[in-house]
Amino acid sequence: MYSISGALASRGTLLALRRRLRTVRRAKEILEMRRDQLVKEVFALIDRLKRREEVEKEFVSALIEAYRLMLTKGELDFFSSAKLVKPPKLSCLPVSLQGIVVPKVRVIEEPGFEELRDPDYRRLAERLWNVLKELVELASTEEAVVKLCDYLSYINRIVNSLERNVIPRLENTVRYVEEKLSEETLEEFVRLKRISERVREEA
Amino acid sequence: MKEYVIVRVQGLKLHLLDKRDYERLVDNPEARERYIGVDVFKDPLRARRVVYRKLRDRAKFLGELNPEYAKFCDLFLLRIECENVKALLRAVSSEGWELPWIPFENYTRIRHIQRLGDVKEVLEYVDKSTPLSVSYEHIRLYLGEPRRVHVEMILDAAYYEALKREAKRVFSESVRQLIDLDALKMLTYWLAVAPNECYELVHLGLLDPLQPSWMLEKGGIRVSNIAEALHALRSSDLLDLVSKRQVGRLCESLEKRYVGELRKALLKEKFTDVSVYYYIYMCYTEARNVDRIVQGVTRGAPREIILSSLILPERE
Repeated sequence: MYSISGALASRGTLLALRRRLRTVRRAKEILEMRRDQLVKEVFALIDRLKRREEVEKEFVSALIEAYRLMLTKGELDFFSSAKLVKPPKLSCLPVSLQGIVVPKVRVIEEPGFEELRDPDYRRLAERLWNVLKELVELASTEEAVVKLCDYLSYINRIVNSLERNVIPRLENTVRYVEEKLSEETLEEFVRLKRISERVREEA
Repeated sequence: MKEYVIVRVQGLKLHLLDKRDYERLVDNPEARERYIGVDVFKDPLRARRVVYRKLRDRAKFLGELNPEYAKFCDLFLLRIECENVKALLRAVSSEGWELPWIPFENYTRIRHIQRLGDVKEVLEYVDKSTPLSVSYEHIRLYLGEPRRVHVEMILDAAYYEALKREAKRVFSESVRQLIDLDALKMLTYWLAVAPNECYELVHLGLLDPLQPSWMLEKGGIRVSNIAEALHALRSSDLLDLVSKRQVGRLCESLEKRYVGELRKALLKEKFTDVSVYYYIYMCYTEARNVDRIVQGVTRGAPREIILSSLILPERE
């Protein structure tokens, strides 16, 4: 039976319990709305993740081109030319998505290919950078989905616990207090009736 | 003595690898180990070292057969060390991973190269340790503060200047023409990669060693654009690759055609010093091919990619 911390089954307790039940039901409704909103957001993000296969294929194809170029021009030429590229600057910022903090990788400075004079290397470097940028974007999205899903499962746990545990127990307690109060009312009524009968007999 | 070397080379040529041998090296680890003598997966650097040592031994053997060729062979193989130097020029101001140096040391020492800190030091080192004459002050006089591509082009020009000088001493006109074509190939690469800088150096006369002698001697006519260079190489059909900016494929085609030119010259003058130059050039090509196989196999590149990156000679 739901505990009302040793309080007596009084009308005041009943009112407090009913108020608490109303609040819990409202909270459950709000959490359900939030869950729906998050599910919608997760689906939107998952739609974006569908590009992953395509991007990965492009990445593999760029790597094969890199292999070909590395073998044709030689490892030394390949790696020394790679050193001519000015590396990009990236930063990872926490951003709020539906009130949940998710990491977002932003490109602060694009890589510099100016020193790379060989058009083959330049084309490959630009292609690899474009694919990598998309992969980084996808990784950010994936991480956001993971975080949202974590939060979603947390909300689900709370909603389930409210629906299957807290609300039924509160309802039972309210019912118990109501019954107790109606019994007390009936008892009081019978007692008053008997007293009034005895008073009438004595008179 | 020259006749003896020419006859000897006819036999040595038979030891050069052909297409089937290369396929076996790619597919069969035992064949690879038999040829190189080292398991390429256990110690790829040692395997590469063995490949280049074999090349050096072959060149040394030619030099022993006829000491007149010794210096030319050394100079010819200096192009490998020049690649190390050019790689250093690209990496001199950057940090990060270690470069996969070509393990070939005749005039230069990789350990020493790694310690050099700027372009001036690099050029001073090259000037001091190799027969190439490159002076940083001389370049500055013409160009002010030279850009990396300028220095790389001047290094190539210095290499071909030394090679041509030595070839003039020991080889016939036919071989000198083949070396001219080789130098023109390099000029074509630079005209495709950095046309503006190359044009500038051509007009300053700093790339004259890369120009074909038959044109320079005709009253100072210089090749100054890619169309002229391809025309001189009788490869104007490759101009299409230049417009598509496919320099890698252009160089590959030029290299294959050059090997074809060498074969044609050899068939025309089989028992002349052309066969000596052909042999040393093919030894160099073979070492580069086996090096590509070692690199490709150890990095797990697909068979087709490894084979397509090789320069394959035709059998006689």
